[in-house]
Order: sequence, then structure tokens, then C-alpha cells
Amino acid sequence: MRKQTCDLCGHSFGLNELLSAFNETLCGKCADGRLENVDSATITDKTVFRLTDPTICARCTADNGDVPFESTLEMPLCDRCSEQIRHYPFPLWIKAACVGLVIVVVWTLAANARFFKARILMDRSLKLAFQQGEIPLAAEQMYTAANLVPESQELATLSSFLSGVVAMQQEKWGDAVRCFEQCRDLPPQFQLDMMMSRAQIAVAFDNKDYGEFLRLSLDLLAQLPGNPTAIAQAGSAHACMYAAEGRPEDRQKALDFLARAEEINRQDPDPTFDEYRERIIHRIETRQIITAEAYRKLHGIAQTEKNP
Amino acid sequence: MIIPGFIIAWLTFPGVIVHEAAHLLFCRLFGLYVLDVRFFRFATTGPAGYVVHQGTDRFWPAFFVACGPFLINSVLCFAICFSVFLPIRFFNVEHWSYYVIGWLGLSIGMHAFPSNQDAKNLWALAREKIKAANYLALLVFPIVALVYVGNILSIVWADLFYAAGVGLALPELVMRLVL
Repeated sequence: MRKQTCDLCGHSFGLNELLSAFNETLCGKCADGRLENVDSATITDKTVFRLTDPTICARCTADNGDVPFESTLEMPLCDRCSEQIRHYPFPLWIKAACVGLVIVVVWTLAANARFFKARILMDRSLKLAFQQGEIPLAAEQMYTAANLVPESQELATLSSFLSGVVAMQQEKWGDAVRCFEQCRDLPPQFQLDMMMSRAQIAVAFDNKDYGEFLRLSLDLLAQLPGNPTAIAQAGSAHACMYAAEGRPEDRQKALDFLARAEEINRQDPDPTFDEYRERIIHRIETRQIITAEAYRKLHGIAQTEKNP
Repeated sequence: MIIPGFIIAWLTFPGVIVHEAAHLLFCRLFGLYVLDVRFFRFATTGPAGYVVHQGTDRFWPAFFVACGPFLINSVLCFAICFSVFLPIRFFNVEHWSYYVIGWLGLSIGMHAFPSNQDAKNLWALAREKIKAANYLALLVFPIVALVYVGNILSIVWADLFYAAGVGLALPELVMRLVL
């Protein structure tokens, strides 16, 4: 450490404890007295400044005896401090926090990647189903999405719905009903009630429960009053009742419904309607209830048509 | 509602720490001397954290030291929030941990903006560089203006809105582009 005396009081101080004030070397106490009556506007970092002892580290105050430290950034710094400011270390807790943060980021991204995949699959599935009509593929993708996010009621419902539609396409009516029963809060555009009614009607027909077939057909007709297939289906149900129980009023209602359906269908013809109508008339005329498949076999028809 | 800045800093302290760590990281990357670092302090006055570093007249080191936290905090805010945004936004799937992670992400995002001191340093350097015909430094002026505006508007929660934009609106936008 280097020492010097105060120009005013004459006491010896370490160089770092002294100030240069207007070209005088002063200790702190004397500097206070000297500067008391000085115009503060004249006090600048050039007129008043602390003296620097080149043998004392400006950062950690290490004393180097009488040998000056190397100057870094115009400050005398010991080797340790000089190295530290050149490569300021990240404290251990910061390193640990950084590692923790990276783990959190990677873990959350990895753990929640399934939501990303599921959202993409869901979107793709809906496009396949509603824009391209690829229901089986859409159902498959929605099923995968629902398995990725089992917590999502929405995905479970959409998956059940599409599986139900696939089951209907395969004429597995019971499976379709079970799938539709699992659907919750579907928007109206999915027409779940209508799909469910159609599947239940088919189940009732397959079970030869014609009373239920008629009730459900009339319910469906209430939902779709202007739909020729729904009207014809009500006629079909009455035809079944007539075939099973022989009441003439059922026969008349069946014919009335068929006439109504035919009239509406004429405006926008459905290619499957004619076969359906013929099958119902066959039922009325013969009082035989046969499946669509058996009817087609009987008449050598190859076309597929799914109304009971 | 006006809440004192130090309370916001306390509530979002991870963002302050990341901000200062980013300053330090860029100082080290560009070989600038660092005299003192305070990653976070529970102070009611003055900055919640700071890095005292060597000045430089090199443009890019000065730019990245000043704006590095903006990049790092923004990227981290997006990455952290994105993963917890998906289950909540698209599937209504909630878990307490998502909110903790969301707070972490938004806290980091709220401290993305460089401080006025950072902007001041950059402004001074950009002026010198333009005088020396380095017209790339012109890019700095709108950034500095944005920083000042952002810091002034922080009184009306601009920093929170920025974090919400990066952590919530950006993931929404990305998903719309992906889908």
C-alpha cells in the first residue's frame, strides 16, 4: 500500500483514502472543510476525485505491497479480479436455475406434444369427414387423437360420433347406437339426434319391434318434416305394422306417407328413393317383411340402400 | 390499476433473473468485461437487477448486450407458454402445473423489454456509428423508440400485454398457420 500525507493536516493516509481537490491532496475530513465554501458548480470529476492506489485492487482491496497491479479498464486489479471481470462467472445457483429452466421447457414441450399432435389429427379428421367424406379414415384419426388426450371429452365425443357413423355405414346399428350414446354436447350441425334416431330405427327393425320402429320413425319425421326419406320411413314403419298386425288403417297411412314422400322427392330426386318405395309397396302387397338385402336378392338388384 | 414497479418485479422475479443472465451471457459472448452483476434484489427503489459492464464502441456487441434479453426472454416466454397453452386453449384440459409454468413464461416475457439505460447506451452508440457512416445503426432508432414507448407504457401494463402477446396470441397464430 502506498501512503501520502494530507496537504492540510499533514497526517499520513493510504493513497486510496485521499482525494485530489483543486490540485491539493486532502484527506476526507479536510476535503469536507475545504469544499464547504466552494461553488458547487466548479466541483466536477476533473477538479475533485479520489486518488487511486495502483498497489491496491480496486475491486477486492487486496494489497500488493509496493508493486502496482496491472491496470484493467483504468483500474488496478489483482489477477483474480482481473480474470473474474474478463470471464465473469455465472453463479452456481444461476447455472442450476438455467438447467432447471431448460428441463422445464423441454419437459413441458415433450409432455404436451401430444396435445399438438392431437389438435392436428383432430383438424385433419374433421376435414376428412366433412370436406372429403372419408369417414372411416377420419374416425381412425379421431380415435388416435382421443387416445392421445384421454382427458378431452370433446375428442372422446367426436371419436364416438365418427365411429358411430362408420358403424352405420357397415350396418352395425347396435354398435352405432352405443357410440352415439357416448356423445356429449355435440354442436347441432352434427345432427346427432337424427343419426341416433336412424340407428335406433334400424335396431328396432332388426329386432322386429315394429311398434318401436313406428314410434321412432314418427319422432324422426318430427325432426325432419320435409325429408322424403324420413316420410317414406314412416310409411315403411306403418307398412311393417300392417304386415305384422293387418290393420287397414296402417296400410292406408303407409300409402299416404309414400305418396307424400314421392311428391317431395320429385322436386329433388334421390336415386335410392325408387327402390325404397318399391320395397315398401312389396311389403304392403305381400305382407312379408324382408330386409333390404333379401329384397335386392329377390329382385336381382345390386345397388346398396340402407333404409329399413 | 397502478401497482408499484418493485411489487411487479417481485411477483415476476424469474423474468428479472433471466433478463440479467441474458445481459451477462452476451457480455461474455462478446468478451466485454463485467464489473458487477445483481441478478435480483428485493429493493423498493432502483433496478431489481443490473449488470455493470464495460462500454464498447463496437456496434453488434453493444446491440446484442442491450437487446439480448429481449430475444432470450421472448423466445423463452413463447416456448414455455406454447406448451401449456395448447391443452387449455384447445382441449379445456387444466392442471395446476400449467398455471405455474404459464406464470413462469409470462414472468419471463414481461421482462423482455430492454431498460431505458440499455436504450440510452444503444442510442448514443448508434449516433456515433451513423456519424461514422455505419448506416446499419439506423435500425437501432426505431428499436430504441419502441423501447422508450414500451417502458413509458409499462404504467398501463404494456409489459404484461407484450408477454400475453408472445405467450398467448403468438401460439394461437402459430396453430392457425399450422392447421
